[in-house]
Amino acid sequence: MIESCTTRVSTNRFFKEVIVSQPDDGLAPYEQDSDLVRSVVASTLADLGPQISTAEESSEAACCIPVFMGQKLTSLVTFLINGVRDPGVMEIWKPVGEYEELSLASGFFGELDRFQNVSSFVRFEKGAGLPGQVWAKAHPVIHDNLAQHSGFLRAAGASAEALSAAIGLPIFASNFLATLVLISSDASPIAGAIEVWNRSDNCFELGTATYATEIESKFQLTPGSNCPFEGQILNPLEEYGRAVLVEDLSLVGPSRLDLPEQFQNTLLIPSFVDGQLQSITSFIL
Amino acid sequence: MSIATLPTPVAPRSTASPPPEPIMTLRGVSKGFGGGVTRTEVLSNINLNIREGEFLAVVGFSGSGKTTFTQLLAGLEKPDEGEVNFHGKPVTGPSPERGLVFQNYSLLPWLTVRGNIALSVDRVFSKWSRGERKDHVEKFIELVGLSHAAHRRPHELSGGMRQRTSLARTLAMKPEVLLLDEPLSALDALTRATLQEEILKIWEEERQTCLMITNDVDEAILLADRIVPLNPGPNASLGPTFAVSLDRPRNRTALNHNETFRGLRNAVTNYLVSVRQKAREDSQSSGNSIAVNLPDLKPQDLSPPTRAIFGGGPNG
Amino acid sequence: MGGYVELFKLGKTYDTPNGPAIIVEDFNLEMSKGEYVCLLGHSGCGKSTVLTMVAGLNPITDGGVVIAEREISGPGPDRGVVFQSPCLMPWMTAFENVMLGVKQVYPHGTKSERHDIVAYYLNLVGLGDSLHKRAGDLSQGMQQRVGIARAFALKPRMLLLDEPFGMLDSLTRMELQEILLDILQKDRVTTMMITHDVDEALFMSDRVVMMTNGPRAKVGKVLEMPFERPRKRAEVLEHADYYDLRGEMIGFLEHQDMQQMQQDVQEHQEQKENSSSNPPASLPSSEASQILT
Repeated sequence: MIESCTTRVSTNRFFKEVIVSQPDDGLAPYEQDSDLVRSVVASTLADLGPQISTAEESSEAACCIPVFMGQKLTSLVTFLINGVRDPGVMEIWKPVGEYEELSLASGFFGELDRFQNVSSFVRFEKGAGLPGQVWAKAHPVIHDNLAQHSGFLRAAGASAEALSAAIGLPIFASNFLATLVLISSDASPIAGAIEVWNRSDNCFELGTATYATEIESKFQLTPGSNCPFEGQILNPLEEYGRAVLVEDLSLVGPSRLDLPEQFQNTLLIPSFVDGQLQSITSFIL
Repeated sequence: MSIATLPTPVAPRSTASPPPEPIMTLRGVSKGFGGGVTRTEVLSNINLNIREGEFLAVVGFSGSGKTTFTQLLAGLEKPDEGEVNFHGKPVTGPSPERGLVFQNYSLLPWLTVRGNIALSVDRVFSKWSRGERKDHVEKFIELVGLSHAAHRRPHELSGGMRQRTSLARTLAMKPEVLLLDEPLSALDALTRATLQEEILKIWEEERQTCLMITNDVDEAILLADRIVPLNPGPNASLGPTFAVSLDRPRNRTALNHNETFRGLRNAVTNYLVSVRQKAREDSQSSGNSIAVNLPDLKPQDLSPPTRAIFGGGPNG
Repeated sequence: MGGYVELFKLGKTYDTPNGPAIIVEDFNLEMSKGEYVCLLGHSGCGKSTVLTMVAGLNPITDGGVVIAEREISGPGPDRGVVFQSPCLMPWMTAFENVMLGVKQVYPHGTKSERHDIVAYYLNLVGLGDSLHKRAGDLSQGMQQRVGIARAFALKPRMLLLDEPFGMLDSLTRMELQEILLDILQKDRVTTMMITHDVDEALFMSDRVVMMTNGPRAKVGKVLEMPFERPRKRAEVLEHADYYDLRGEMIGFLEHQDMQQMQQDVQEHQEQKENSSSNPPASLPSSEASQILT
């Protein structure tokens, strides 16, 4: 049940914390957080668009994305970074100009100055590169094994060899607003697993997934697998269109109960296109 | 009124108009030569939109299929896979709507500058009156600054002037898309810089759709609205598009102090250096060169008998 | 006191029917062992005259050149020279071309030692797969690699490079610059290079010597390059001083261009007056003068 879901979890990896809140609660769930976090959430609420902000002289950064069901804002997901030394990237790509083209609106790059420099000049047309593919498909896209990935165009020349996997999430209201890109390194993965579940008739099937090295192969599902979670956890996602943060592993499938100690939480983000639930992206945190 | 409740936020519906149609498109274009085991893929899965009125630079390495690329656009070659479209229709052959200027100016040696330009103008605008055609020719001779040399034949011209003539001849045909295939590569650095400025000036006046192939990052940044790297071949594909958001008119010397210029120049250069490095490593790991150790051997001293030097420096 | 290489009051005067023409005058430069110095300037400023005098290919009229405490008098294998075109024997393979010189300077080595020296340097320049290709069948960039391998294989005390990458396109040029720096990192040969490419001078050298316009060319301004070695292009480009130094050199070259252009125009006009209606047999070297006329 949705009320039993926590709204905030800490991880000791790339993300310090992940927070899910309801728009009606405004800034209330963020009272204990820094000004940086509160301002990012406030501007997401005001602009109804995703935001990333990085503190000038610290390693703190926050990213807040809105989750919509059709035109209705249902929830906010906030990712906090603090004191990370391992490489990792968060980016928001928004359409610019009269052509269907994305440019970097905001981002966190840590020490990857060169990657940031390249990204600030690169434009992706609809269908091109990871951000453009997410837009064209209106669907989350995962790029694994980035060093060898032909579709990941920017890493060359950016001293970004450490980056290993990337996910692009579409942010859709009644139309496409932006692509959120999260890129992680093996040293400090964004999540133990990222899985994209596609709606298929009455169930959800695994589309693509990427797993951190700590996740044993017995937990790794093959594309086409049926969704291990159902009922009470799917309900809020489908009915209310909300992102949820689940602390109870049994809710996301009995097979997940033996997951390593450091991966005990699951973030589920639904993607609605034209008011229809099209996919669910799960992050094992 | 008690507590103010926030209305549930609702995202506005977008009213964006559809994007303009690109003037040319390449969709999944591949091109190779030869057959069977000896076949080499030159270009692989090329996707590109050329926008009306833009200056697009494609920066690539020698041997990466740059020439094949322009020949596909010009209609001189057909793709093995995918399609090349002009105004949404497949390109089936060359046409004056797509004017091509390449590195080796193909001027007719027995005609003057004026004669070479007039030949093309008379052919393309055969319906115009003689006077109209003559004025048109003179306008383009002047545009490229060759009025003083209009009566000269190609062998009496410097390389730069020949390339100006080629440019004028192509521009005079009023193509919808101007395809420049390394037009300045054969020129010395100084002439090249001068002609870059000329092309820039002409383009800024005419705003004609222009695609230029080049191997020079600075040339690309000076001229273009967008830069697309062509990765090293075989199987060359396009890299990410870099937007050149530098104000026009642009000035080479002033750009050196511009932060955006510096960042963009470094980004494009680093990208090209890295993809080449990667291609080299890939081919080396598949190559068959054997590691050789350098023998510890000093060369024999073959210098003539030494002149003794005393004290400080030598005296002439 | 005193450098590994000393150019001491170096001068070059040619006798012409109109009296002596002083091309280079009072040119002084000291280089320490392993140092990389670029002479920067446009063609015709006397850079090549200086370099060919150091190479011993051009008689010195004034002053002298000392390398490793010996005054030079004529060419020798202690100085490896690479020109814009590498002058290979086109009918010989890359291997044979390098072997020509290696045989000369290693007569005391065994056959297999000489073989290894040639193969080692051709591998270094990335030609390990093309040892037995005919030089005439190689691209310009590949030929220039053979030229570099040949120069290094003779273990010269000094390397003299006269616009070695001038004929290559800018991306191939960058690649060969990196290869050359890699070899120099292993084998710190004292190097003098002529270039008009500002980025090349910045990336390659320890010091850039900007020469005043000829005639009577001498050392104008000298700039120290603050970039650490081994150098990576991306890091050099990102160095805080890179673009300021680049600006200074571009400014210097532009000033030189202006002077050259004025000179050319003057000469061109004089020519016109002298030879009334006939078109000039040879055109002025720079396009710039064309525009002004």
